[in-house]
Amino acid sequence: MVASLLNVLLLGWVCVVTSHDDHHHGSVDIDLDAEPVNALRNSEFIRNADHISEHLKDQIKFDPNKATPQELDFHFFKSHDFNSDNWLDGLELYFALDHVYLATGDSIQTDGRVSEGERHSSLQRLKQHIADTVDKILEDDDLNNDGYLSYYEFVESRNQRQDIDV
Amino acid sequence: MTALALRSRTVVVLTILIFAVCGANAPSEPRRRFEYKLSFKGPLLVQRDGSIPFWTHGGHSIASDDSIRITPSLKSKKGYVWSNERNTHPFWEVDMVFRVSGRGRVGADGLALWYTAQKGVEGPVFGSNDKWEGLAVFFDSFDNDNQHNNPYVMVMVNDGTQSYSHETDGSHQQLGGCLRDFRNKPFPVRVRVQYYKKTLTVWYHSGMSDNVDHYELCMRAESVTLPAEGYFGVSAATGGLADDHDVHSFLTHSLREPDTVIQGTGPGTVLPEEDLKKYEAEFDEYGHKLDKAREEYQKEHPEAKHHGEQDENVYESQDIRELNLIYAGQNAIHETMNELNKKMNNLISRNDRIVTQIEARGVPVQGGGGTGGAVGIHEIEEVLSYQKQLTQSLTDMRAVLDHVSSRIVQSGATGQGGDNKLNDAILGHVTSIQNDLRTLANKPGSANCPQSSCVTTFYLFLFMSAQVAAGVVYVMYKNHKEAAAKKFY
Repeated sequence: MVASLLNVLLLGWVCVVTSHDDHHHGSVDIDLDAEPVNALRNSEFIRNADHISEHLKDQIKFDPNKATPQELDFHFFKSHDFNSDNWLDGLELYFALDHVYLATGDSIQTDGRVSEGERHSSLQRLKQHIADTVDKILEDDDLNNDGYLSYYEFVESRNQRQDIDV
Repeated sequence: MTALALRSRTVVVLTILIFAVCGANAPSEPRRRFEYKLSFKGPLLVQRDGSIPFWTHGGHSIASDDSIRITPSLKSKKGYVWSNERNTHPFWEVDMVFRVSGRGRVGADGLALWYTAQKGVEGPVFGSNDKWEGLAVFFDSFDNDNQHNNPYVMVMVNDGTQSYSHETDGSHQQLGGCLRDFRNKPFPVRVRVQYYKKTLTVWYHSGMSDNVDHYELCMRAESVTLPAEGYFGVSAATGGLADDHDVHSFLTHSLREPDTVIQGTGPGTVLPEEDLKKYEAEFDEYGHKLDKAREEYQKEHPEAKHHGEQDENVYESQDIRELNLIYAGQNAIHETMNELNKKMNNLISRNDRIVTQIEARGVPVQGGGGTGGAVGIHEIEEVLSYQKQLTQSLTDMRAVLDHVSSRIVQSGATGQGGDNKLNDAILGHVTSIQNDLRTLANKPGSANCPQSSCVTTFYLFLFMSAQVAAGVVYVMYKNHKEAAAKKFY
């Protein structure tokens, strides 16, 4: 169940990343009623070369095929540490996920079949889902409970990934 | 026996004292946790639909990626931003980074940071409603009461009944505050509000440097009661004069006592040291690699914007440059002063430590309920004065001794002839006594012997035999009498 859901998410996301600038992508639905899962423990989520390339565009010459998995982890962490303090906090995780779920958000907003009110409530549910996912990540991986993920805690999460059936 | 008991009690008391001291130090540093649902921050502040996650803004406020402009610098505008989530943490700390800037020498009206039981609505007090229940920290730019005491940072706690007095700038209603000019600073101004165990503390950062450690205490109040649960918010207003009121970030940390049991943790809270080092090394390695790659990319694509560099830096004017240089110079001076201050404090504390050590060693601890350990300065002074007195009396004694010996020497020197005369006189007397004795020895039985005492040997024996005879007669008579008495019985 979880695995299929994630696959749906990833398909949509890859779709967004590849056509990021023009916003013409297919409609992807997230099951907003599903239990939030710890997205950091999903290797394909973290080590998505296209996503990383997108972030590193105009910064460095980045060849995702030459990068090691650990390097992709590092770039995921660094790319979403918006204030460069070497910590990922809840807000940074929220925006990282918001970026990933962009497709869903856009599809909700441009859905002409439903009323404005319904679109609004769907958007609220999406935001709630993202927040719940961040809560889940912090609950699992913020080992010292300070509200921040250090690189250590982030990599520890990577080592826990086999727990999740992807 | 009692001495031993006393000593052991002293040890116990001291041990308890040590534990009490350690225990008193520890709670001063509460554990912090970042509450992202009660915070917002640049450089990524708004979502694509223009909303701020977990916050609602309104009025004339404008949210952008870097900051929220609560009011633009236009006349009579009001704006606000309030947290959607209700804070349920009993202790908390808020760091707000903001900027108040305007072209005029005087600005208006000001900015307010709120923690209230209910979300505020647009109103007359710095853009929010009056008679609020909870805390307000005002950054009041305009001098309404003409006391020349603005811009002012003012803290006010309201129970929901008081009405803010605009005429007096709330000067009689304030809990505390400090006079600080927060307008038009080279760097954003910061304020830190902490509510921990009924103590409310406000620190202020002047915005003269980008060093985040340059906070100074603005006010502290104890026994402050704030709503147990409430909403955080920021509001601002402009009047006849107008400033831009921009909030760059609003970061909330919940605080808890260090010994509180941690809830909702992951697999474990103990971080293995070697893993930590390994990952740190990995992180540094990739970090260096990234920096190098950035430099290389920069060389190959000189037209590309350097990562993190602001657009306006390209158009930095001569004036701004000079101003920045002046500020940099001032900051260097400030930092040096701070450094000196720190060193001075270090020296003072070291000095204090040495003094206490000396005191501790100077007076032996006596088993008396732990009172022997503490030695006051007056006691040391007393001992010193005793010592001085002793030295003084010793000097006096020495002087007296010197005097005496000098007198002896003097008299020995001057009185030599007198002694000879005395000896001659004594010798004369002794010789005359010898002569007298000799003459006495040469004249035995002279007129000195009295006649009555010179009995002859014959008379002596006569008396002796008469006495013996008398004795015998008496004994015989007594025997005869005793025999007669025996017969009677």
